[in-house]
Amino acid sequence: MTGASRILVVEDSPCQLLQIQMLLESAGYDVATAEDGQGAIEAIRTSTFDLVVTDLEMPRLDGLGLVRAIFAQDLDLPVILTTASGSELIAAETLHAGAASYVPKDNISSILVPTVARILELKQAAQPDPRLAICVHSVQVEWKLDNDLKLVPNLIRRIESILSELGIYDPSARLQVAMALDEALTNAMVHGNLEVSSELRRIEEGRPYSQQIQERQSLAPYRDRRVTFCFQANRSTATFTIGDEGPGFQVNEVSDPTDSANLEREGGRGLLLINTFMDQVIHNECGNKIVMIKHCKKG
Amino acid sequence: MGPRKIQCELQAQTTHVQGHSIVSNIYRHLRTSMSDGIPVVFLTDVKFLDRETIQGAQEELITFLETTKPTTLIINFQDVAAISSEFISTLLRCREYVKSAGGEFCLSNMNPAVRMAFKVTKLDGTLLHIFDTVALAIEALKRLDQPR
Repeated sequence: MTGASRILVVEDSPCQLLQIQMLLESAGYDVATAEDGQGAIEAIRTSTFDLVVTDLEMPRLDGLGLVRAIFAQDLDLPVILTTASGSELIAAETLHAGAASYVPKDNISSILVPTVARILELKQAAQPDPRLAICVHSVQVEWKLDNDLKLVPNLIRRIESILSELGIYDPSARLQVAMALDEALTNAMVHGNLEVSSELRRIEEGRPYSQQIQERQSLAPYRDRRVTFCFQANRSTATFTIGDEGPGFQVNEVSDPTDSANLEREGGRGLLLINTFMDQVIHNECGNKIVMIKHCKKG
Repeated sequence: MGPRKIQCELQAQTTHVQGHSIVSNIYRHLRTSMSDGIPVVFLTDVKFLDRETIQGAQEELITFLETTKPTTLIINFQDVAAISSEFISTLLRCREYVKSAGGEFCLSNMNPAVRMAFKVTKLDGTLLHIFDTVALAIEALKRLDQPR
């Protein structure tokens, strides 16, 4: 089933553009074209595509820049690169930046169409069935996380996707949840488990802060502590419980970040954002567990 | 391990549109231009939540500030959907850079959730000046620049 898939081909060489276009059209795909990354971004803004096939070296915006722009916009749009021999290193960098695959130009006529078909299949398999989504009544998931901050964005993306499937918040409320979760998870890992002070961010562009995080991620007892994240949701309310294994803190001792004397200080702002974006926030007595509740505001 | 240093490619391309020079530098997290003689930094990421993005953006912003030493600066949030308190700290750091050179620093084009983060932290209108559009920010900076 390839007929319905729409592919954007980005290539500055008219000859190669025609070759790729013919290959894909003869395999049944609907093909649109752009002559460089900038043109591609404009095309993506005004039309919908299922996949992008792009050259690496192009004027104005190259393939790597295009991949980064698509990734930064959080678009569900896989990108396949076509690469000339000798550009394997930059191709690897592009894969790291979020490209789905790459096809050497020498083998384009034999490899491109099967690669496109495989990536489109993977994309389709990852999409939730809308008929199942409307049957979801409630969910409960629990994660035990080590103190790797790189896990946080992916975890939040996962929560956003579940919330979207449940359909209880509009996109703006989902973003508020994302912002509050980011604060709470980062707080549990960095300040809770690793016991790194946010005031270090003010010193030397925050280098000692990053350094201490890195050191303690592999140093006992900090490295052995885990963050427990429990997420429960139904079609009216979501509850997020985040606990760390650090010594905790006294919530009422956190200085008020809105006091004019503290405006430039680092501490307290995260808690304030959590309180703003959630409907109810409860801390345990020892200060190493937070429960955040957000209700559905839909009519 | 030492701090990671991002290799910022400062390939400046200058074009002229309706009398304004537009300079676009190739960064990963930002795009820069000149509007009515005022540098405007457009943030290209949708979310400034994870450390890697925030750190990368901070390094690029500081490189930009150190190399261009602007006396006025506008940060355009048009595509930004979400930010963290750590990114607020990054912006305060940028403000310090511009202010220490006697300059003025403005933010613009925020969505309501992002703007709320600055409002509840009482930074909106105190340490940071936030405008609905880049045009309004330019107007305000020009007014400040006029001799009294």
